[in-house]
Amino acid sequence: MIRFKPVRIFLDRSSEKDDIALQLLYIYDDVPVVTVESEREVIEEAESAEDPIGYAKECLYLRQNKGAKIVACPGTKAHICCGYKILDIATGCGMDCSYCILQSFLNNHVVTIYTNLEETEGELKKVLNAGRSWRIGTGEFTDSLFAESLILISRRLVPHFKGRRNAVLELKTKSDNVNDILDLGPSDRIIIAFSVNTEELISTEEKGATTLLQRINAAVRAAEAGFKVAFHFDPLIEHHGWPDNYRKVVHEIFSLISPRDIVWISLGCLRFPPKLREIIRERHPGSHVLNGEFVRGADGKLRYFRPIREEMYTTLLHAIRSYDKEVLVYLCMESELVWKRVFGFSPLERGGLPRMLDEACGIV
Amino acid sequence: MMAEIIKKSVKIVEIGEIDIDDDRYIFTYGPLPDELRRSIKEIGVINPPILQEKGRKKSYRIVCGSRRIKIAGELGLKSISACVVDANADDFLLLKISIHDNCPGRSLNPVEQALALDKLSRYLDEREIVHHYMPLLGVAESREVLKKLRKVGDLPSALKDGVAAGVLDWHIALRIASLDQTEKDAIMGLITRLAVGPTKQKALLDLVCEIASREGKGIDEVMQPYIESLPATATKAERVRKAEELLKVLNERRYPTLLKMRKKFEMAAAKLDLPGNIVVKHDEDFEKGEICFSFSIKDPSEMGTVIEKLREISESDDFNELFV
Repeated sequence: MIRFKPVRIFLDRSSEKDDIALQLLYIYDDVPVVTVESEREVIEEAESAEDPIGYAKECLYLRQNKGAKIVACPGTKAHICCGYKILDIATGCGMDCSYCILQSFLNNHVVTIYTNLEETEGELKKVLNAGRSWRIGTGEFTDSLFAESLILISRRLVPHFKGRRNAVLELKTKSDNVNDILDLGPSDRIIIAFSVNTEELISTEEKGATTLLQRINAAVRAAEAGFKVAFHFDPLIEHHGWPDNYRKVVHEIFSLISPRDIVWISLGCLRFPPKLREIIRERHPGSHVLNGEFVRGADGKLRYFRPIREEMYTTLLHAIRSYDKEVLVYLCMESELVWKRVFGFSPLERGGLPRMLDEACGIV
Repeated sequence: MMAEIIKKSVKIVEIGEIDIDDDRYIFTYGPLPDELRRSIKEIGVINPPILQEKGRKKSYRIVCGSRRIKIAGELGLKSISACVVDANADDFLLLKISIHDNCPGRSLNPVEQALALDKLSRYLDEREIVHHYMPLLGVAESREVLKKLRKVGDLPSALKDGVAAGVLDWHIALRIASLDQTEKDAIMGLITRLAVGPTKQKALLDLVCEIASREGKGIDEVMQPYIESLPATATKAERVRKAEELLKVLNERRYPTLLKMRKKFEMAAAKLDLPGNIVVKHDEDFEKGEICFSFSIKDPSEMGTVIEKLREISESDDFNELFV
């Protein structure tokens, strides 16, 4: 289990009376607390550290989210997006994956938890009651469960989705912190999704994350509690022996989890904005993730050369299909051309990827 | 004015009495300029350096003018005229005088900038250095740059010399510093034998490091054949050409699948036996999977021939091979 303990807490003055802030200050009563008036002060302190991002990951910033609480996935130009919506509860996380895009995406790298959860819940209720279908997740700008045992935010969100026909909540994680929500099951409206990779890559590139087996065991517990589970092979990283190594991950998943408990599996090859390259070089000098043959995609991000991506997706797809023919497998942020070459069809021929996903999780 | 509140007197000082190793206020680094040497040789030291009495009799430390003093000493001058300030003068004020004496007159090299920033950090907080002194020193106003640039002052002499001489980019020098000695020597050997600016130095280092990592080899092992193929002495134009060739070779080694695909496409295109006025290209890096035919004609009557040729190509067995 991942236990996040900050070395310093920045408490925004506006959060001083919020329940989550008070709860965390109580739990971390031995951690120095600095009250701040603005995010600028937090950023400046982090920037003065030798490794600003590394230091920021050891700190916690408690503040209110004054902006939109539910936002569309940013997607990426000229690539097919799953169209899910992000419930913005936090940014950053205490894990330190070498390839993490947040290292170049965020201005403030301090792990930030939004303390005005009542307002977020209010907005959530409003949209869920407004009809149409909603696939909502919390794992885009943070790991959904990395601090769940302390903040219990997911625990508060789950009841909003239970029993609804028009919405699902996807909690995406590299942790195994599922225990605090297991008693809220069963519910097929809750999808506990695990980002997975090979054991070797987890140990070398996903600092602070749980092992593959711990994640799969957590998935087993989640499925036993009656939740749906999902797996994201994202990022797929080209390395020596990758075909066998990824086949082994697929085998380990299907040997412990029944396909009927898996709502979907996504595949996404490593991609990143060019500026992340320098950050990885500097912060993760032992990393091998930059060794691939990258080219610049239509969205300006670096991706593996297309034939390599196609080979990786095809290999994974065949491995998954050797265990199950039904489970929805989709590509995350890929072009229509790659879809066609891997699957033989474009999502547009099936109503679009969002619709395919809505159907897979049974929302109407 | 701040500088005027320091009590000073103009004296003739024996050069032998100046402690040139005392660098309390000095951040000058790099070869002594020939222009200054010629000027002093011809006319002597025009502007008196500023010295501080060291407390002991007949011993001085340099506040500013270290290059003038070193050249004067090398040229065999026994004494020079200097402004001498008292031993108790304010340290920070003297450092500021040193900075203001240097900065408006010339561009500091990155080693000098690093040394000056390091000295300033003894007296000032980061914010003041970033916003007030970095622009004065000719450095971008950035905390991140401050942190990185200060490390340049701690580099081994060989790397500092390369940076000060303008042969090596300071960002690259910092990366090279983290390599082991044989790798450092190999990289330095390559960069000094080629004429490459910062962008190409970075491209070269990136390629070599990534090839080494991909192939599980040491950087020196990757570079050795290339270093051996480079002449130790060559004209600048030759070194520029060699650098271009080397970057091409390294790129091909770094991106083998891409190279293979390009060759496959070229072979498929060659099989079509296109006339000179029809050209076929693939989209950049094959990402879109598109191919593009372009043609040129000099006379309207040629249009029909081109169209006929394109139709013929599209029906040939070789056509599909273009879609690699």
